Amino acid sequence: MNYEQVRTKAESALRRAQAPAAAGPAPRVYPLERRVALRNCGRIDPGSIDEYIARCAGYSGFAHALGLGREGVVAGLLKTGLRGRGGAGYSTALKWLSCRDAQGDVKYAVCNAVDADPRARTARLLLGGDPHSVLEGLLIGAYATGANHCFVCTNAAYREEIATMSEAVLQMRERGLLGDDILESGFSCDITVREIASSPVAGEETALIQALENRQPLPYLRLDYPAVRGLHGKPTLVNSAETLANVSAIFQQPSGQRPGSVDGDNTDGRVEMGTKVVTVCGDVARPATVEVLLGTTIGALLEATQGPSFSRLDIKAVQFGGPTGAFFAGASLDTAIAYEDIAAAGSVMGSGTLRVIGDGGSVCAVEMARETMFLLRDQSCGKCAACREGTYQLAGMLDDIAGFRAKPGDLELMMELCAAMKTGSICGLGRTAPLPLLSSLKLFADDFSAHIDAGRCPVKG
Amino acid sequence: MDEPLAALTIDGRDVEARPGAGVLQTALEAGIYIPHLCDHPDLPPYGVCRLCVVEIDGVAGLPASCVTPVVAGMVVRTRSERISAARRLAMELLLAGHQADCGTCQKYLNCELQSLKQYLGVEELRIKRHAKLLPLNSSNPLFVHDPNKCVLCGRCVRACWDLRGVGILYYRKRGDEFYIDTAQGTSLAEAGCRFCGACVEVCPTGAMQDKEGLIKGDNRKAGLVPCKSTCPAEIDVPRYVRFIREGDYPAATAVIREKVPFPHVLGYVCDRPCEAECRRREINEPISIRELKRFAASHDEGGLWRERAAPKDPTGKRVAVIGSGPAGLTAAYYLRLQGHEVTVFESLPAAGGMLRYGIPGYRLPRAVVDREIREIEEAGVVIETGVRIESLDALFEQGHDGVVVAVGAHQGQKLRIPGAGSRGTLVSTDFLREVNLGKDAAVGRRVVVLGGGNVAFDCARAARRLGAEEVFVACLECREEMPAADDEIRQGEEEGIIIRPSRTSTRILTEDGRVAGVEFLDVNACYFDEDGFPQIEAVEGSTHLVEADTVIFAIGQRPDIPDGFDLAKTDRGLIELDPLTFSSSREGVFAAGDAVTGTASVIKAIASGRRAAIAMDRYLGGNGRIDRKLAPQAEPQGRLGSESGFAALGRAADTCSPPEERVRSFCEVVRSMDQGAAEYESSRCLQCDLRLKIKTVDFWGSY
Repeated sequence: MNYEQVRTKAESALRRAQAPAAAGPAPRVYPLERRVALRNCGRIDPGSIDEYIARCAGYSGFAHALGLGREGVVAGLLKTGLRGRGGAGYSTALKWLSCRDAQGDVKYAVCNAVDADPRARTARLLLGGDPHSVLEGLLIGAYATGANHCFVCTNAAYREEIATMSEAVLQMRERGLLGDDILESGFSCDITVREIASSPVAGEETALIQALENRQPLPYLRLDYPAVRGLHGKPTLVNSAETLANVSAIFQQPSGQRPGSVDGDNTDGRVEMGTKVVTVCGDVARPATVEVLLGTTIGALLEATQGPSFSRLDIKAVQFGGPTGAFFAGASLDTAIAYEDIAAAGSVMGSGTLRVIGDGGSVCAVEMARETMFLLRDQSCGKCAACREGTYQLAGMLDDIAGFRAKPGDLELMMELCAAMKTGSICGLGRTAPLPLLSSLKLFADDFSAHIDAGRCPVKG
Repeated sequence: MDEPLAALTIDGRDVEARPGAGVLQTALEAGIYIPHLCDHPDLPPYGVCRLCVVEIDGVAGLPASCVTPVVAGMVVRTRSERISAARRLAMELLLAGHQADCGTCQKYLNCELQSLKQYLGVEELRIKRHAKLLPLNSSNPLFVHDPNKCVLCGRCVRACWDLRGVGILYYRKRGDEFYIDTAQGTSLAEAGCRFCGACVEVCPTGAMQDKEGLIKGDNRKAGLVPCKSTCPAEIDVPRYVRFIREGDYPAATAVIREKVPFPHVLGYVCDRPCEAECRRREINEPISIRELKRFAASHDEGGLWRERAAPKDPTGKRVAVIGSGPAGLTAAYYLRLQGHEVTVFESLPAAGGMLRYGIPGYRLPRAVVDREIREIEEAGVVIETGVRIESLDALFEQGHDGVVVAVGAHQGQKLRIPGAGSRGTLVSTDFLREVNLGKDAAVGRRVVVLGGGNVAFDCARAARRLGAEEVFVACLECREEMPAADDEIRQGEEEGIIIRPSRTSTRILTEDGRVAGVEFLDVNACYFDEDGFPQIEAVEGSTHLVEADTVIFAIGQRPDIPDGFDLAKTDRGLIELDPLTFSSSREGVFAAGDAVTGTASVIKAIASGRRAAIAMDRYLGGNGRIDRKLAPQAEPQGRLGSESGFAALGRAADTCSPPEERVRSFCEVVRSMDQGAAEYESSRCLQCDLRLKIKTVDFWGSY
């Protein structure tokens, strides 16, 4: 069968869905908001697969993918340049490619929907608001790589969302979207929803694989990537819920055009023009979760969500990227939320949370860095020496600086520890844990030198 | 086909390796040392300690070599200033949370961490040490865990999960400090531990150790598998128990037969020193090793062992063995297998020695003895019964090249007390021989047996079966110190034997020259003095009388060695052997069994027979290698899997016939285990031998 035949057959199988009459209320829209992953959240009934199919072109992306065939799906995805939204930003298509090419009689596909950063809520929104966008992306990924079993790993605390997701999987099965010979394509697949006890490292794909093997969910470092050797030693594709919601959106556009790229604003003509879901939290009047175009600056996002009364002068700093994200302040607030720009600014996309810290006059950077490092020390899983002992020692040394007990050479030793953690930790948490400290040292050198050299806190006096 | 090897360069040296192998492993195999701690040859690479960092051309930073796969053309450097600095910092990070004082640690000088610390020259730390102050856990059997010495290398966790598939060890945290423990902090037993000891074996520090004193002897490997090392004949107990668990009984029997020609006999009467040392004893009760042996030997369908048990080509040498007990027959059998022509001379009407004329039939059915002796004869050993040898010269003159004297210790003794010679007094060996010959042994209605060992119980229980109504066993020792086996005492009591411990007989009362009773004194204490003489502290005025019409002395036996043998003897009347060559005072004459050791056990007699066979074979020009691989050489499965409740599995109880039935005949008392019980009991084994399969990590000094 050619592309048209396959696709037509699949779509006619789907067309039996009955479109409900009522439309959902329009979601609140912030300036700059561009919804791709969250495109259906709040607009549809998450409990109805019919609504997803009839009103949201649901599963047409999967039908499209079936028409393209395995090679075509990965090639198409490669053209869009989609990067993993889970934090590391690795090319999604290349990951799929290595999993597809990996040898294995059995392969697995896993959706990471844990929200390991407790401040992030992207997975939760998707699972509870639009489970099928994620499931369709997962199914496309499974098809492209040849995985016949999928897992949706969710945070065990998300009771309602787990119920919604489980119901969605049931509906897929009823509609013939799971099981043997899906839509007469010859492709067979099933999806299991697994609850994962939340922990700071549970979002790491290797930790997730350990959890699926009923082991303690700790990250690991092995000779091979999970895409080649993962769950039960088999090739395992792990993507975040946000990535998979992007995947379904991409394939629902027959041209393979990247959604969002049609919007030109704030993108400076970059090649990479997808969107990112960002959660604004901390010392703000209006916490918000917004999906914006990559390239939107941190400052612009704050202004868009906090309204005209927001002033940069009122804040000490912004931590972007989750608990291990770097601090931004002053001019660096103009950094664009885009993989290259964030990396160039010495930070990571991470969980995409944007935490606002205090008002400018009442927060000392030493205290800010100290608190952050203690939090990271508590979040370390303890497995690798660099992260376990590095966060322990750095927290202690920051405590010494805050208490005016710093010794000569402490700063140099801190730098050495940070370098060792960056290269020597086995997971992203440990590798990025020095970022808040390093950025605050750079941004607020005066606060530190006041403590170390003058024995005085610039805030408390 | 093997994959082609990839060529790489390490420190300028060309090295070849399997693509995908770790760089660390490759370097170590090439004899290039890279310090490493978390890595272990039997465990998946981990990359958490960072001591093994190297420089690789084209790779940013300092990758950990354990988790870096070899790629063809790779250029690796294992030494540089940058590498040293990174390793030293990594070592500081490990040491910060490690107990500072090495001197008090049992692992001192045997500790990988200590060795690495010295290698890297890390003495003072720039970062802060923090004492974890976590409690030492010595509440589990066999192992002690001191989390204050743990450096979180994760080896124990991987050993538990990846090597053994048990999966009960976790990373846990108390306050700010990490440690390794069971998921809920429960005991190992509750968590489902299999007590294999892999975690202890791989621990590079003193954090996980064997409990002090449990590993006996200087040979650590032997001490870890005490059942095997305690066995006088060194039977590979864990291996045959494993075959039983797998349902392969012929293979199990073949394992036993690699060391002894009497598996079934031992399954009935071994005094099982192995069970006394079984490590499972520390958890609840030892494995019922003897009963498993009996089960295997009685289910040896097909006799797999025979396939590789053919005698070697004839050597043309002739050996005479005097005595057909377990020692003599064992020596004869192995000498026959070495290709010698062997004739056994037995003075009694049938072969078997004490197996036939000492141990009563209810403990050891005669059919079992017959069958195993027949196997020995089928190997080509000639047994001449009813022939008493009085002179060794005659044997040599008949053309024998060597003689093994294994005449046993058949001469019983009487106490030198008044009345000991009166009618109605018997000696254990004579009595049992008469019973076993089927002669009408005369016992009266009230029997007193003097002695507290197994032979005393054999006499007492035989007397009960011959119709004695009341049977007493009286001995010097207190109840707890009686030398008889516990099950002998228990079964004897069930059969109505009355035990009178802690007393000494002072005279035998007679009436008309016949026994009328025994006069006793209570004993406070008895012990052996410096010269080995028994000392008895009797209680004054405690004289009392036990009425009896028969008294059986069961107070020890001596060998009866004809003067014509012309052999040097010890002051205890035993044959004197050269401790190195096992040769007697006459050239070409070796000796074995009770005649050498004094009254011992069947397994010791067999072991002694083996030694005599080895010595004799060497004397006759052979290599003395009598061991053969009779059983399949399967590598044991190292993955044990988890099993909740494993520690609580109790020992399968022996099932005995009802006592009232027992005393009516000489039929066997303890019934054989059924297959279900054998499967169950063998599955209780801790498989201590698996631990020996774990590789040891070479210290840097050996590179």
